[in-house]
Amino acid sequence: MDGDQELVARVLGGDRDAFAALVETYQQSVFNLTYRMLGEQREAEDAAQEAFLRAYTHLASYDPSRSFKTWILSIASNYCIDRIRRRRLTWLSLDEPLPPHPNLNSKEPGPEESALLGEREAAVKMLMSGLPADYRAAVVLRYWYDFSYTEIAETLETTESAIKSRLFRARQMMGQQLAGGGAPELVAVMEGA
Amino acid sequence: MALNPYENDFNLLLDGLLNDDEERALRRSLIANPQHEAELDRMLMVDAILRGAEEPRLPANFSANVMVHVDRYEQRVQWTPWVIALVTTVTVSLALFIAAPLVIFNLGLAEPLLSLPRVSSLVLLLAQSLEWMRLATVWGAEAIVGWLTFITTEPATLAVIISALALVSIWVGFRESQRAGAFSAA
Repeated sequence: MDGDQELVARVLGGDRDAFAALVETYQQSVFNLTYRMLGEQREAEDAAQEAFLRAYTHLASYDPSRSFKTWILSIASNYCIDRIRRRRLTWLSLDEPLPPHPNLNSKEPGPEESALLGEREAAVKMLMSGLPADYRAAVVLRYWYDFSYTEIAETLETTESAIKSRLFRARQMMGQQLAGGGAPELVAVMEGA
Repeated sequence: MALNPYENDFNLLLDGLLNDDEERALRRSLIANPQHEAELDRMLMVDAILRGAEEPRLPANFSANVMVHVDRYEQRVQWTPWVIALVTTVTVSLALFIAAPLVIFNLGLAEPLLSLPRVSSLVLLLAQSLEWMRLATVWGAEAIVGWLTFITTEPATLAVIISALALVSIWVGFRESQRAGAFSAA
């Protein structure tokens, strides 16, 4: 039994501090994922907290043969995918083309955000914001977690073939966005590259 | 949708799964197809941008906030069975309280039942209990109204009460901040 499995067993036995230890271990990973998927600090924090709470309430269904990291990231990515889809449903009528989320795609970030984010960061946000939710999840797990196709497929509960396809289409879409070059963030990064 | 061979090769290249020979072979094959070559160049640029992104900074007290949510959940879980039991008991009692007299009177069972000494004394006891409850409610309401009238017509008393509440509130806030600080440190 490795450290995580032992902690999970202790949590199931009623040890609250063991769950705090799991949160400490995976908080950065989970927040990183929700931030990259949702693109906004406050929303990402809420989503990451919700992911941990869901993990806690569904801990009995956790399969110890699976990596805890994969499991918690799976919960977080599924939650973010749902959230992005709900966000779209709220904002769109079916006939309209998909507009980007204002926090993700604002061409003029607020002064506070500008101070915090470099041009590269803004470009990453912009590229990610143009992707469908499930493509975004695959890209995040590939680039920021260095997950293999198999691990991404396991995390997102799909096939390796689907993941390869999502990654290619996502890269293609981002490449086309880059070629369009309309956004100042992208132009600046391309010039700097 | 399955990928065609060049799409698959692009993925493998970008994910670092092609060796040098395979990469050179792919590059050579692209010379004849400038559109695909341009697409790969764009993808490589996207790749460079994504790989250069920094890790976002974790919000302050993140884990402490998660544990606050967990505690709230635990409290809800602890209370839920008791609340369900209480609501069920009250609902069943109320239903019986309303239904029993209706049934008794409609079936003409009131007189025969009251002629039984034990039943009549039970009904009497119930009636007395209800009267005591009514008196207690009236007394409690009058006491509250009297107290509110007193404190709102006596500025000094009102000031003392508000000060006491403010002190208690500050003390509770202080205790909570100490607790959160101790948790973060742990």
